[in-house]
Amino acid sequence: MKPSLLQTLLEDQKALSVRFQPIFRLSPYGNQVDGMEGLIRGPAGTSFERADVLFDYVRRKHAETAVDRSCIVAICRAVADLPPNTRINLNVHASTLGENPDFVDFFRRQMHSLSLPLERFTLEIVEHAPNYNVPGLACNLRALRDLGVRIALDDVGLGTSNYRMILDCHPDYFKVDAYFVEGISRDADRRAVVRSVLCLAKEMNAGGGGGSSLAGRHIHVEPNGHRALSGAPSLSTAVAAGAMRQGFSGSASRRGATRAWRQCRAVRAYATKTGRNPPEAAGVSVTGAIPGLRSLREVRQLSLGTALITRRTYAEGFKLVIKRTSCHSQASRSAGNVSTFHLKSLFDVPALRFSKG
Amino acid sequence: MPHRILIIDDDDQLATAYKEYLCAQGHQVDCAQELEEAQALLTHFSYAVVITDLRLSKLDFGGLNVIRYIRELALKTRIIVFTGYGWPELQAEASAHGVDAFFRKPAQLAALAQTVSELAGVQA
Repeated sequence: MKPSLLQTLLEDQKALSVRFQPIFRLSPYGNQVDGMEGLIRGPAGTSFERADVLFDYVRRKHAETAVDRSCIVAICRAVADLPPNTRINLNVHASTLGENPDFVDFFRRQMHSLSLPLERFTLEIVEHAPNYNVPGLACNLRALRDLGVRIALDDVGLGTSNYRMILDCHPDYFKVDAYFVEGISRDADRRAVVRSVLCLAKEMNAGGGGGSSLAGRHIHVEPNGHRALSGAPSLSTAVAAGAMRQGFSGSASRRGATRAWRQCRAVRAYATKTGRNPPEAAGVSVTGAIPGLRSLREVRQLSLGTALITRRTYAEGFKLVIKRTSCHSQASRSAGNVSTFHLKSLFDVPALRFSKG
Repeated sequence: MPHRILIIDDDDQLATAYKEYLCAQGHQVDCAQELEEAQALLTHFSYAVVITDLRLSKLDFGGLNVIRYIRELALKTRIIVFTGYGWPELQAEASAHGVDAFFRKPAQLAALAQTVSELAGVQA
């Protein structure tokens, strides 16, 4: 008898695969990778490879705690291959923190076994169930903060990531769901919503001492005016590591796209000459390392509008994942060998303006 | 015309055999062994036809819950039940939830595939 999917997830180390999604710090002088969010994918080649389907199943099995731990173990193994200064975001259910007094011990032991400093980590709290153990959650969050771990609240504004959860978690980072960010430059109501969360973050940070920020699946905006961007390509560990070593900066401009294309061309030439795979070749830019992109036009499309993602791209581990709620319907509508994702919303960010003070 | 099909059965070997046959017909096929897997898949994907056993474990008739779940979601998915249990009461309850076809295990692959194509075509 074949083991159940849950057994497979918990017992087979290869069942869960890890991707890293860069978080960019935006600045007029160039974007820098601020850290990587560790993402989990289910068994390859199945419909449970998609994280939303996988965790829907996990929640229905009430197995969040066990699977969260398996995910943390898998991500931390992969993190060990990244450069030592890379900041890492991990997702954890509030129920996992609320109902497991030994979670902090588990987390500390896990990091200790891999010699990973706890200060590198931000735990992103996710929850879909309306009830969770608030005292237990608060206790574990306090212990984690004492160890130097930062806390983020994921999907602020959706579901259970509401005002109550904000109070219960007192997050260092607010991650605003993409629903509120997409098209923000054209929508005054969305700007108002995001501004309100920014104000909230500033107010809550007043007595908290540093680090509190407004974050988004697509943008992070800190009270001091710094902005960051997530929702960019999710990368295999090898590519993420290479990107971090090379000081990869996202190309959100035409000039950036041109530079990425030139890097891409140079890397390909170098790879052809040396017989090495492009991701292993020096000077890789993540944009340029995407095999499906062969022309400047396509790179521009990636940076400025629409990306074409081939099955080959997917198979080689360079899948572009645009984390947003409406992405799934688009993905499911994709046909043949080409999926189309609209990336323009990623680059609406520069149009976002916040008044200070 | 290819369709997306979901097979729900705790008998992995049987489900795999049906899957391979239907895939060879050009359909895209997912398999689920238990109720929660099926519910997660039905929530996120649109299936033209669901083929389900009534008994998904030795303990309960989870297949009926799958059928109820599909109807609760008001999905237009067509439902085929294939089961080793020909109990009239079970069949009556399944029929009451709008099951489109019944097959006794082991079903003839060609007949099953024919019914899948017919039901999916009608839906389309």
